[in-house]
Amino acid sequence: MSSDVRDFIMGYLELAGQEVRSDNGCYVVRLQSDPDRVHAITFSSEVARWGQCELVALGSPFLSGILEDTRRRGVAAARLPSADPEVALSSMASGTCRAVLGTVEEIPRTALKLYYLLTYTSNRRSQRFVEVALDESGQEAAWLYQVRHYMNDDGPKKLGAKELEFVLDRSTSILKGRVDQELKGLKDESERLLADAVDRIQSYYAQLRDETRNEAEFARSRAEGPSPSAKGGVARAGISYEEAERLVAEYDRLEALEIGRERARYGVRTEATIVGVLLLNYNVLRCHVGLQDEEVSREVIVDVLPNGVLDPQIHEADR
Amino acid sequence: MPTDDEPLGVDSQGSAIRITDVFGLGRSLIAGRFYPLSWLELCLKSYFITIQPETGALLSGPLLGTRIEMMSHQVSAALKVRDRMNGRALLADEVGLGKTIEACMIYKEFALRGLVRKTLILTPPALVSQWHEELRTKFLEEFTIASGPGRKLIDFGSHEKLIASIDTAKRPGVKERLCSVYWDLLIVDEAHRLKNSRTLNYRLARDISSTYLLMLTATPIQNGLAELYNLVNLVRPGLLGSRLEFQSRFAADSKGRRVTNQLALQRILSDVMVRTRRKETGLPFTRRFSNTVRLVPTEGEYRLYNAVTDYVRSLYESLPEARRIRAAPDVFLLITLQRQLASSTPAISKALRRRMERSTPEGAREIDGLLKLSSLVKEDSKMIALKELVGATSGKALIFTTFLETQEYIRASLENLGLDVACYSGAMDDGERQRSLNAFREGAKVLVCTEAGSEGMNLQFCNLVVNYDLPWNPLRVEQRIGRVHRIGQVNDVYIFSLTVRDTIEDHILDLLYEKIQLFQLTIGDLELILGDEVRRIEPRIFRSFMENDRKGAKRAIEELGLDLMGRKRRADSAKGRNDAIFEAVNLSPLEEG
Repeated sequence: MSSDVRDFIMGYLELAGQEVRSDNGCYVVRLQSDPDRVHAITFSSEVARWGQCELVALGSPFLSGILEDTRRRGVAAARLPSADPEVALSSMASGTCRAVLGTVEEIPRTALKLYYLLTYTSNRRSQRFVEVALDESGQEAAWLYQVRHYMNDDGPKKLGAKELEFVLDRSTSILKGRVDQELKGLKDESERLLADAVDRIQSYYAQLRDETRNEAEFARSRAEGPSPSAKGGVARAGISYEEAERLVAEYDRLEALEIGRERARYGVRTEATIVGVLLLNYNVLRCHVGLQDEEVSREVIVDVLPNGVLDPQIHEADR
Repeated sequence: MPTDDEPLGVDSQGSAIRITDVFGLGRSLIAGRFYPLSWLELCLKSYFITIQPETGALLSGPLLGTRIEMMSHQVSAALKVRDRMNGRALLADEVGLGKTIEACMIYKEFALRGLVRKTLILTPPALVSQWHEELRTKFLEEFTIASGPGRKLIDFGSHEKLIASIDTAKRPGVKERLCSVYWDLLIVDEAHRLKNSRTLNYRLARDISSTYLLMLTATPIQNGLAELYNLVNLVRPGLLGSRLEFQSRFAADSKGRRVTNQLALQRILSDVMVRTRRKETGLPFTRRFSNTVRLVPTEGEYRLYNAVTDYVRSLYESLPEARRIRAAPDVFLLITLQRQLASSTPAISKALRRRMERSTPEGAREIDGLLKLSSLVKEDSKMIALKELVGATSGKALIFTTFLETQEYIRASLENLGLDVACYSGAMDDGERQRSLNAFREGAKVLVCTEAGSEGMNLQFCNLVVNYDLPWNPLRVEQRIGRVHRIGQVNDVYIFSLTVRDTIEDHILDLLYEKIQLFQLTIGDLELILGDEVRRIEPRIFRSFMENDRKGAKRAIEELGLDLMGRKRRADSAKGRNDAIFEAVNLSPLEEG
């Protein structure tokens, strides 16, 4: 844990170009955001305990500040290198059939990779990352999930508010499908706990109502005849019917209140926080390919994606 | 664009999925504000650091470990509340085992896991500031105090982390606003104040909705089992069945002071209650030895004391009756003046000079006469005694005073002896205070401290406390001693209180504090004994002296002492009942590993 935190902080300081001096486990740092202040930090509990350095750990103000600053910078653009069309097309050749590459046209495309942190909260909480990749038409671009190598992109890139809204809307639909499956286990557990809690509350208030009405009955019979013996050694005062009904109504109110609270406690809430956005520019290679075997020859058009995979749709070229 | 609070979309099972963009990444994208790829990678890495498994060690452990001494019983309790009690528990450790710290640890744990944001802490009025300071200094958490003396009631809607006194919270208008919020966590300190289900306190706690609930008390049983029943019913309604069923199943006598079916009760309670006993912790609990240094005033001190006391009395008598009875600001100012007199000659001199600046010419002449008397006191008898005391001790000494002028007087006088002296006060900023504490830890023989801002100090390496002046509020006395006599102290602690014969402080010490053996009591003990009475003690003492002659005043203090003795006896009985019942019903988190 502490080495993860150290790597993260050092990564941050390096990226931010901050000067760091270290001395016996204590690091002296000045942040650009607050240049007047010098921070003496450490990643070692021992150093923090005896020195004058702040331990950087979960919950420490220094780490919280750095986390927040980093998380505001989770928007990047990248370019995907194009695949080698010759290699990609080699899969089209089989047996006596040969694929001969003709002209290649570059078609610029944009895609978006959205990184979400999914949080399921009931009385407990679990979190996990989800990526949703969409092409510019809003279709899920499953091939992008395998792509891990990007190049920095300095070219023009901007997405309009409407386009973004459209893409986010689409990504929400995709998320929903995934959430449904994952939620099931958590919901089953929560529902079991909720059922136990509701059972407990209902039987408690049912018991209270019974006892209250018995007390009223006891009072009435005592008023009409000789006193029945007390049960279980517990003193019984007896109450009027009016008082009993007032109490029963109060129990009804409290029962509803308590059950409502339990539902709120065990209801599963799902939150998807956008934690990173990657705008991807790439070229689809539209290849004119001649397919030839011993008897027939045809020309087709295939699109080659940056990961070298052929778009499944093959078009016949105009003759 | 989704905002950070806007729900978007609904899944097929009908649950809302909220899409949030807390850091405005969508806005950056639209604006074309891109960062290099390495920032995105680091950004994603930042989440991997904070996503944690649901169980396992306390997330807050590494951070808190450098700020507080986390005891194993506290860690075990926090884990048990987190993992097995769904965050709803009655924390009922014996007095002095750090329930407040335990609750703060649980709060911090839940906060770091993102389970808790909206948090309300209800405490007795006298403990509001202490909670605020503990959270700020030890847990780095800034809570807002809902209201208090001299504070306006704050707008609840704009604060997610609130501390309120129970008295404030149950006020009409306030209660409704607190109840309209669904809190993530509610903490109720000294929860034995909710023992009676017919009281406003109880109804307040019942009507506030929260996902998690921590109730803190060392004595869940005051008179009988019915009170335990009421508290458990708040934590988990219905767990113990109806009151009649509970009584007939577990009470061995009609008052519920003895328990039967212990194992069954233990099994049920272990789902909602933690109680560690001192003997289970294996911690050393050292003793306190209290010494009073009662000094004979010099002629000059005697004349000054009587003249200023007469002056304060004349001011008091000039107040309209209504403003004398209530704890009005005028009365507090006069109490302060009287206490400055007892504190030191420099303290009263400065206070008189300030008063003179605002006085009428006639009033100024009167004050001038008092100042002349004060100038005749060359050195306070208490200062002479202090020098001897500090000179005779080989270890470090923590000296308390309430007033800054007295603090300065002590510092200058002891430095003149060639001693290394550090000072600590609420007037310093955090950095200055830290440097003072380090100086005291590393080299200085003496730390001269005012109460203000001292709540978070841990000075277990020192075992000598000197009360240069004496607070009239017993809680303040205990807060001073608590800086050194706390978990982690391995030596017996010696407390010296300096008073001058026949002053108010002298009578308070003699007739009040020694009667209830104040110096032996912990803060939890005091809360049990005094309850809300603690707020009334100071004005009650003052009135006794202002409205009576010397004999009458002593009698009034004696009566107050008897009243407190009665309270102490009742508190001791309640503790005894809890000890007896929980000897048989074991709820220690330690034994479960």
